[in-house]
Amino acid sequence: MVVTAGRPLRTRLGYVLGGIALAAPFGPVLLQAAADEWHGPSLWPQRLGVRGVRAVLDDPLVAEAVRNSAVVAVVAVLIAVALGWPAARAIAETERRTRLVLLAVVVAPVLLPPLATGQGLATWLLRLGQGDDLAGVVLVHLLQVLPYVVVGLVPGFTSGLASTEEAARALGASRSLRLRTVTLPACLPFLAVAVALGLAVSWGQYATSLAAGGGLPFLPLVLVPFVRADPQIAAVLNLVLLVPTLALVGLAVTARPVGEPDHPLRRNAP
Amino acid sequence: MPALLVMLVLGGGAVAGLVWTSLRPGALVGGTIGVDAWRSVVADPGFHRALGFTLWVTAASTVLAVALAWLIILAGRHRPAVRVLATLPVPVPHLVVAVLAVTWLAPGGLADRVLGTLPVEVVGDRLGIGIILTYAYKEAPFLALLGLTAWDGATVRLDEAASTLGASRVQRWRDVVLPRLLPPLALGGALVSAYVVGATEVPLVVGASTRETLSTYALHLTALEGPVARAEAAVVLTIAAVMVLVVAVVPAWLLSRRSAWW
Repeated sequence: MVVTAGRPLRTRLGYVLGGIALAAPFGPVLLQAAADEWHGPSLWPQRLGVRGVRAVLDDPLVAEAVRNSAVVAVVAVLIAVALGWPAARAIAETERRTRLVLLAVVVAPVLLPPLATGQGLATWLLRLGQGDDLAGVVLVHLLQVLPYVVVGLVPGFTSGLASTEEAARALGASRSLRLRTVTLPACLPFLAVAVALGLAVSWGQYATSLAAGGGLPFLPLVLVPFVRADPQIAAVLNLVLLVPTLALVGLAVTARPVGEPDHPLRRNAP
Repeated sequence: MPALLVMLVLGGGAVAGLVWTSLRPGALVGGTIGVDAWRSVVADPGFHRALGFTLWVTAASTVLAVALAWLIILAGRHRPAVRVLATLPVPVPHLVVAVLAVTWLAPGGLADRVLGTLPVEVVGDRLGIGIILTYAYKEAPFLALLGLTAWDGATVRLDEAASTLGASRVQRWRDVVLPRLLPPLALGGALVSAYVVGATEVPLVVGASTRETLSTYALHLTALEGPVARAEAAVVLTIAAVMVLVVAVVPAWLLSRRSAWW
């Protein structure tokens, strides 16, 4: 069997072919985004161009929608990481059954219909005068983002991190030194995936943004009307909507636990 | 744990806000408490149609997604690449997949152009075939991932032990493999059902405007002006939330009591 860098060629070929099979349905979206003119029954656009990209860049409503979605996603994820980090650590360190119960409590609200949680919280936000405010949308998105961040972080705190931290403490490392040199490097891949997952979840929220946004534009909200009205613009917006997911996939493929022998953080280790 | 407190406050607040709005149309301007919105929704034939359509789409999507997941599991149980690849579509937003479905399956779309014409109408159809296909395509990798995770070293060792002890292929499937795989697949199927009951994007983009699910029905009610329509939307969403509890939480609870998988 042909072996390349420790991995059989057949396995590598499997990854490549599988990746192509998964990505293939998305190809036409790229083509649609670049098709200034594309009438049936032709399989190829009559004219390629950047009309869709220009329209998106020139539309102030789209710019505001992207800005709103980005601000809400970043703030919601920052809050989710601040709240989720200690929660994930506590959940990881409990025994198995309690861990499952705690995870179920954290994840349960995600199962509720997003429009229901959005409208339910919007009732209180309107009473508090936050009905058309980004802060209110952050709160509603937090309900969707926090569970994913916690679930993404929990594996980072298992697999012997506590004993490594304890060893560092016994050797005299201060709390901040332990955090910098032991905890963060061990959790970094999981933190990166949790952040990307949180951003992807918030970025794609349609129903909650609609219910709690009070008429403010968000990326998914401005995309939907274009699906039938102008497929080229819809395709461009769809690709923008896909950006955090692509980042997440990239991280998931490249991120490795710090314990691996060829991890960059370990290369200079004795 | 602050995160738990936040989830309980936000989740509980959302449910309380929904029920409050459903019982008090015009809550923000001092309306009176009553069940008029509930009576109005329960008597509305449009709600009954939306309820029936939601149940159909949920059941068909879940069954098709589980069937596709089985095929992926069978194809990928000895191939680590399949497990890695199955994780990739999971974080793709449903809205992205819905737009993809329209690009491929709408009248005059790519499938029409490649095949000449599709034998049945798929996007905007009355049976919700486009919605069902979109959910099956999106959720099958997630379910396959759960199944492949359960098909771990322990399952392989048990299967080998059963084989050594003379169990037939059918017996090994029935007594070893299925008991290991069914709980995660059943739980995953329940989660998929819960998601389909409450989701808005896919039926809104791929479905027909005349065939509404509970969520799109509520969405259109919220688009109407006035506290009464808002209260009726809250009623519909409360019913959808209860359905989610029934299709997701009850199976999860039963599995946690009965299954060795936990």
